[in-house]
Amino acid sequence: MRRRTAVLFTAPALLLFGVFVLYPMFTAFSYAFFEWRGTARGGFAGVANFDTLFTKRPFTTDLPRALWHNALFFLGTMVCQNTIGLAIAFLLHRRQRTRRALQTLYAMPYLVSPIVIGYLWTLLLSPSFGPVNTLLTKIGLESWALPWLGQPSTAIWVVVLVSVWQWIGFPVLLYGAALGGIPDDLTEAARVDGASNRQSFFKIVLPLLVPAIGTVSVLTFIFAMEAFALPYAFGGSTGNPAGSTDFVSLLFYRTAFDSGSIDAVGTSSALATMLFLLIFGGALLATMVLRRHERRITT
Amino acid sequence: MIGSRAQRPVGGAVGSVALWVYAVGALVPLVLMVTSSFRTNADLITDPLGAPWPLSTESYTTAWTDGNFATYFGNSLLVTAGAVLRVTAPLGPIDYTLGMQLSALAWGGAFVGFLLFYGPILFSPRVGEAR
Repeated sequence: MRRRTAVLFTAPALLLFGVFVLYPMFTAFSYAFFEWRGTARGGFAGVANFDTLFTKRPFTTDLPRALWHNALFFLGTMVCQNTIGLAIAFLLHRRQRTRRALQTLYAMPYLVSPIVIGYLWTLLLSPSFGPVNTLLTKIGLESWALPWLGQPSTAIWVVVLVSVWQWIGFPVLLYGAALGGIPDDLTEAARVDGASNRQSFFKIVLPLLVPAIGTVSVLTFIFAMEAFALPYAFGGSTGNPAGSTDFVSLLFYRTAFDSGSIDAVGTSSALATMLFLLIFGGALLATMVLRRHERRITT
Repeated sequence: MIGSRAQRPVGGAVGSVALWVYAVGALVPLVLMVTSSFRTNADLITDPLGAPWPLSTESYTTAWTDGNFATYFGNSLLVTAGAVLRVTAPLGPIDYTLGMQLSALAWGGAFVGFLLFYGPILFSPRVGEAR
């Protein structure tokens, strides 16, 4: 391939990537290091904006809490996707006739916007006229008819479970493809050698699924750290009830758009930068560890 | 016979039941969304699980007129078309080039790949709005 052709072919993608991804990214980074008066940029501020995040209210209380919720959200969705999602994919595997239809059904909630899903489940879980509690009462489980979204102890788990419910089709598809890539010869050979189903799953199938599990986990990590639409639909920008569904993105939204504080641009940019570094660092580290592991099992 | 046994689905009949039960769970809330859309507010509050009968299209009229549905749908369509074009059009050429020149790009290939794959999703859209 000629050099000029190569440049010509890569230029459009790199240009768009630069304009729509890199430029806004670095602008936000730079904003974090300046003083701000409304939308007017002041002098260089060093790390003063980052300092605010660790020393001033409401960040001293809200930021650790929001980070903790992001972590819970990540752990909850990851555990569910890697168990329920993998189990479904494993059961679907080799069901030639029904696999497509079922996969489509599992992916249906994915087609509805998270904002709509949040609103829909708020109605379904409503303590006064929600079908969920009506159903629980009808079948005699009145003590289970709780105000699921009204009490801090259950609200965060509703967000986790609804999110899992909505996105489950994705790990099912990914694990389905990964399972399809494992040659039948391997499991068959294991069975001929006397391995039980359980042994063949844990000693052969599962180790070969590690790259797929890694991909799902990294994408879940990114997704969970950026969670915004669903928590916003459930608890508004303040993470109701009582901040129990607050997430870093919601805190960012409040800081940038609702706080009315004079240095909102600087503080929110600092928060965005920190969140980005956290996600980028986590994803990069996990990818590197996975690459190493992949090399070990493929060679 | 060994070959045919290996092709048997995992979990058997119990697995089938579990899969269909989960499918119902995935679908029921969406079905409720659709049936509720054909019922009036008062009807919904008195009997949340009732049948959408007689059909009431009142909510659709409200959404179309008071909700300016046509305008917003037009906006969504425009954004979607633009996004699809912006993502797909430049990707063919760059994928071709990266594929042909992979050895030349080996030094940073992994990192460039990482950025191109994760870059756009790493950065929350909310952050872009802050500008």
